[in-house]
Amino acid sequence: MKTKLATQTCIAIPLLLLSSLVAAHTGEGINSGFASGFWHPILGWDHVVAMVAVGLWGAFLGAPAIWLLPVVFPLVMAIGGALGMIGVPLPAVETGIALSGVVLGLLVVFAVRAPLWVAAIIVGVFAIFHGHAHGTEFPTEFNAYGYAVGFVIGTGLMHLIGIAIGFLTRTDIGTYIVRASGAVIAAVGAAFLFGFA
Amino acid sequence: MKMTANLNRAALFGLLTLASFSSHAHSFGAGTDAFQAFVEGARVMLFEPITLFAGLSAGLMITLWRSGGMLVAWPALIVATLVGFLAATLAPEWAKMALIVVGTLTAALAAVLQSHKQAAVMLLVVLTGVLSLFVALEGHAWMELTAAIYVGLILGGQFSVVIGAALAQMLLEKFGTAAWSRIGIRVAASWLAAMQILILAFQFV
Repeated sequence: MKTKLATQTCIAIPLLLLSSLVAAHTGEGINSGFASGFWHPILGWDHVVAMVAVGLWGAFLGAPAIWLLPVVFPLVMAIGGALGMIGVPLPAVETGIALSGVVLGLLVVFAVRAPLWVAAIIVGVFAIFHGHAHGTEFPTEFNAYGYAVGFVIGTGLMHLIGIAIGFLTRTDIGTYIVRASGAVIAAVGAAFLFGFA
Repeated sequence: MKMTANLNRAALFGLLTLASFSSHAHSFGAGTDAFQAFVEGARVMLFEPITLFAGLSAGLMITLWRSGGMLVAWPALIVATLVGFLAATLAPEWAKMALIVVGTLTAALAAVLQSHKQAAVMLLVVLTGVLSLFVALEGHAWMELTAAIYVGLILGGQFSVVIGAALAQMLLEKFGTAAWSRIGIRVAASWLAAMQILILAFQFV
């Protein structure tokens, strides 16, 4: 027990020191860049609902989808972000984002059990729109590396929250709660789609 | 078990070496120039996101390829970093871009594939080692820097890979029977791939 505590302390202390070093080394901008990237996907409801919905839908699809979808989404979203940054145009980005909330929300509501490859394509296509929006709005005044790290971690955490909520599907009442959450997500997506939000 | 303990110690040593720099910067002065130079070299490898992320990606892939795979891949990594050091003056201008692409590819393959071929893992590890030194020594003439800096660079190139491999190994051995432990490493790899894709795009902005 003492050994375990000592090991954890040994790991925690250098990590704490390391965190201040990272901030110190990279100079002005890393914190702002990280914060900007981290909060960017979290402060937009249209993004949040879609990312949480990915985790929720994965819960209905079960393994391996519950884990594969959160692997696919950041990868494809980063590709979309890269396209946005270098100025490759993508039509109807905002519509695509809003539609992702509606579609993913409805897939959760009806607990649709699509084949894995179909689910991956649906999630991947919507991830392109989300990534493109973030890439286009990339604030050039901030540290780019910090932004990239914060952006991916922020997005990933949203997925993990969705997956965590999705575990409620192991009980009957939890399943109803998750499906009701899907209805809320679809409604939020519809509000953005039809200009109410 | 002994191998894991060694890997854990290596990861902790890497972290402690880095952590020591903060106190070192405030407490030491004359007479420690060689150590300062060593830490400066290691810092270049570990605090430059491009080299750090590529190294971590290689580390994750090594452990996903084979439990304890770091011990198998390490000789190739050492040779690769030495080759990168010796050939750094011949490094092409696109070495930085190439390292980002290799790092992205490594992380993406680690995230997406369920199993890995030894030849592919070794190739990616060697490319990571060589290109990391190319990038770290970009613009410097042959033996322009002090020997301690070169030692720091070469060891820093090992640390970034070892830390990734060791953390993954610790997760696998602690929660080995749980399916999510391996998946957790793949999710981390996907995050690293996403970050490197964005960093690649930044090069064109």
